[in-house]
Order: sequence, then structure tokens, then C-alpha cells
Amino acid sequence: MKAFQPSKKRLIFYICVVVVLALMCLIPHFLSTYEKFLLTLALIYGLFAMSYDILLGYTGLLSVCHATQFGTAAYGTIILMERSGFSLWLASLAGIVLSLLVGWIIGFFSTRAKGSGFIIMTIIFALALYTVTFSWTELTGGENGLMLSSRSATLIPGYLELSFKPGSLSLYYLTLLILAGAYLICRRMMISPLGMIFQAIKGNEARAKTIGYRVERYKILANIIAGIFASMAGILFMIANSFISADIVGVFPSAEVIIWTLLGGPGTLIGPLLAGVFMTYLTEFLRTLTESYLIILGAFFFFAVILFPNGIAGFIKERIESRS
Amino acid sequence: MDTLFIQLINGLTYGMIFALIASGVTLMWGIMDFINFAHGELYMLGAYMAWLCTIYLFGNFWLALMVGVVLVTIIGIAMRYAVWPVLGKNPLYSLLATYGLALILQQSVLTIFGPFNKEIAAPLDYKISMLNLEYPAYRLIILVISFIVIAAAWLFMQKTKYGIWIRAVAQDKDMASCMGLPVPFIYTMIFALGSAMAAIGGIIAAPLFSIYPTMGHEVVLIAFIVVMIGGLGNFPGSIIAAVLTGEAISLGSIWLAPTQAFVLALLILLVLLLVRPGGLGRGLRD
Repeated sequence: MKAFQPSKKRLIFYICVVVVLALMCLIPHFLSTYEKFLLTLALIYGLFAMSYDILLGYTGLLSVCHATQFGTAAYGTIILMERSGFSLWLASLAGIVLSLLVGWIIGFFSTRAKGSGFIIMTIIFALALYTVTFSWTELTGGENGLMLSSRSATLIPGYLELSFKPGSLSLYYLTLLILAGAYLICRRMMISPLGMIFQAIKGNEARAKTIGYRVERYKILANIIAGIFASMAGILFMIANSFISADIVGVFPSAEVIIWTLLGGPGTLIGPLLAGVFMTYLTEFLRTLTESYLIILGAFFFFAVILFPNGIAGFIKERIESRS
Repeated sequence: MDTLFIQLINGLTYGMIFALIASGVTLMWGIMDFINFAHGELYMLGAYMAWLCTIYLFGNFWLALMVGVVLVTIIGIAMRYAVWPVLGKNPLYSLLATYGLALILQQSVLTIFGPFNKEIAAPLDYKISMLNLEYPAYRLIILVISFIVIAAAWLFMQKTKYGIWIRAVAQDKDMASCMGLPVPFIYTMIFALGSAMAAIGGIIAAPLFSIYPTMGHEVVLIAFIVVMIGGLGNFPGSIIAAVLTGEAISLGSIWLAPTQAFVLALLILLVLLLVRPGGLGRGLRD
């Protein structure tokens, strides 16, 4: 289990963080608009994957509906902005609250199903939400989705504007800021006593209950924390594209994020983050190759699970350990 | 009143088709703890195989039915070998692996055959008059065929040696293996049985629903809901649950579109989860 590190290691860690952040701040100045957009998207998906790691990697909750947190926040925010003229910040807050509410309802019913029924229930909810989003055309635009008509939002009145143009630099920096902040917060949280409890639930739920922890409450808390970051990712996604449609909710994106987490190595936070970034580029590359890129993705899912059940990090670790 | 009556019989028809698919799901999930997301694709492939047979080989529906079932059963057995590494492990892995398989199958079919619906003619056009309504006899034939298949499967499970083997593995896999039962072969049998039933479901449903690449994806989730309502591993329970769900969707589609009527099935499950989390019947695995 991960616990608090001695000071020298901590120093090295923070130096690395600063160096990486500095690099990430400089890179976009050398990129084209499309490349900036793609990098922003990759960071958003990295945030999304990292939020799921809290559920799967640390608490052991096998939910296949995480995309509903992502999508509900995005839809909630965009609907409030377009239909009721809310500002970005107020709408985002409402969007996050809505997505947490939906997550709570799903969690409430899913935990009542026995054993692997939990997984199936989350899938069913994911599909149900997709169906609702797809059919409720008056609210969600159905197949056509919704477009964001605003061009920018004010960060600091008079000084800073958040531009919604594709490949926007201000959005990139906001995403980087949120991602870095989220990573540091989550990392601190997971090596704190709260994180230890999450890991205990993953390790042996019955024992955790026997010791006296209110396991149900901690599961809900894990859902909330993961949900907050996933919602932020969803809202950033909505701004980056100025457009969302029903294919951000449902089973497919939820399954995608599970594969990213598994590949990156559950329980490491940085692994799923990097996996999410890498997979964004891979998917984009495959999409340019062929129209049937979903076949390759499907094969990817299949082989990823069959060959690397412990993620690539775990696979490498096993190889190293079997050598020594 | 007439609409209600028609929808009631339609519901029975849907229910029996769901029952065929759900039987396969409950066999795999209840006995092997294996969540086969690609089960719907077996249903879909059955329909496409039958269509191919009817167009290119022989125009006879019934021959196409038999050939289609055999082909899909072979695919089902191949699937069992493909997912062997994740069989018995964490159900999330089997879910993801089969989801990958389902994607591959679905998209391949889409690429090869194109997105437009294929039609296959019902083997007979006869209409039966009941209560001053004309009802297509083919739908009643679906009822009869599904009932025979399910009854045959049930008898197989209860009376034959292999059926007893399957039930032994369901109760206690390790003990069955200690007693000398060939567990991997039994797993193959379960896959074969489940695939065959799904294929039959797909082929007899094809004249009704027309054939398209995502047809499997739509029914597989209803099948999972049915299995959860009926109780995991509970064969007769899943049949009753299937008929119940079929009726709910059928009666629901008087007021809602059929895709939305699926949400009704979900609502039934949610209510049930609040009241009786183990499902309607008693499951083999509690």
C-alpha cells in the first residue's frame, strides 16, 4: 500500500512535477491549432481516466457507467448556458451537482444488486441514460447534439478571458491547471487516511466492515470525488468542442475509460492519466487510417484485457520481479 | 381493446425470443460467472447467416435455420477458446474482453454487409383469424418453436447425463472436477448450448425485426435485465421474467417508442431491486 514518503523522495517528486508542468506550459507555443486542440483533449481524457482510477484502482468499484458523470455534467452545463443564459461558472456548478445526483441514484440502485450484478446494473443505467439522451430531443438535441453559442467567458473581469475557440490557448492552460491540481489533490488524498480506507475496501470489504468502517458511506464518497473530477473533465470537453452529442454518454465511453485505467495500471493515478493521453492520440490516429477503426479498437480492448490483466505497468513489474 | 389483445400476444412472442437469449446468458453468468457481452452478437450472426443461406444457398427458411444454428454454435465454441484466459477471473475482465469481441463482430458485419436493414421473408404468409382479427400465423409459430426449444433445453438439463454434469458444475465446480467431470468440456457445452439458443432466437426473429448490425446489442441488455429479474442461474425463473419483460415492452410500446419501452423494463428491475434483490425466483448462486 502507498503511504507517506520520506522527505528526499518527496523533493524529487515535486521537482519532477515542476519540470513537467514547465514543459507542458511551453509546448503549445510550438504547435498548430489542431495539435493544441488534440493536446487539450488528451489532457481532458487523462483527467477523466484519473478520476476513474479512484473508483476502480483505489476503491475497487467496478462501475461501467462513469461516462454518465462526464456526460451529465456536460449536458447540464450546456443546457443551462444555452436555454437559460447562465454564466459558465454558475452553469458548471449546477452541472456538477446534477451529475453527482445522477451518480448517487445509480450508485444507490446498483449496490443493491448482488455480486457481479453491480456491474450489469451500471451498464444498464449507462444504456438507459444514453437512450434518454438520444430520444429526448427537445432537451438534449438528440442525435444532432447541442452547440455552444458563446465565444468566451470571463475569468477575471477586464484582464483574463477564457476563449472557446478550437485550439484555444487559454482553455489549454485552464485544463492544465485543473489537471495538475486534480492530480496533486487526488494523490494527497489517496495517501491520506481516507485513501487508506478506500484501499482497504478494495482489499477486503468484509474485513473493513468488521473493523467498523461504514463501507457504504465511503463508497458514496469515492463516487462523489471521482464524479467531481469526471464532471470537470466533461465540462472542459464541452468547452473544447463547443459541441456535445449523445455519444459522450453510454456504454462505449465508459468501457473505454475502464480499458485506459486497466492499461495504465489501476491504483497509480499517473498510469491511467498517461494511458488516457496516449489512447486519445491512438484513437485519433486510427480514425485517420480507416473508417472501420472501431474493429481495431475492439481488438485492442480484447487483447488488452487478455494479455495485460494487470495493466502494462503491472506486466512490466511482473517481468522485472521474475528476473531477479 | 383489439390493440391490447394484439400487443398481449406480441408481448408473448417477444418474451419467448428474450427467453431464448436470456437462457444462454443465465447459463454463462449463473454457472461460470462469465458476463458475455458478445452474446447478442451470436443472435445477430444467426440472423445474418440465415439471410446468407436464404439468398445464396437455398431459398428454404428451415434449412437456413439449421445451417445457421450450426455455424453460430461453432462460432460460440471458438469464442469459448478465445476468452479462456479470463474465464473464472474477475467478471469485469470477461465483460471487457467480450465487449471487445462484440465490437469487432458488430463492426465487421457493418463493414461487410453495410448499414442497411436486410429483410428475410417469413416462411409462411398465412393469417389466422382470432376474435375477428387477422393475426399472422408466423408469430404463433415463433411461440411454438421457442417453447419446444426451451422445453428441450430444460429436459436436457434435468434428465440427460450431460445436463446433470452442467448442474453439478453450477453447484460446485471444484467438487465436480474432483469427482472426475471434465470441466473444460462442460464449459464448451454451455457455450454451445447458449450460442445455439441465441442463434435460433436470432433466426426466427429475423422475419419479424429485420436484420441489422446492432440488433444484438439491443437485445443483450434486455436479456441481462431479464436474468436479473428472474434470479441468477434460475432457468425457469428467467423464462417467466422474459415473458414478463416482453409483455411490459409490448404493452409499453402502445404509448412509447420501442427503444424507450426498454426503459420500462429497467424500471421493473429497479422496483424489484428495492423489494426483492435476489430476483423473482431463487438463484442458484445466492
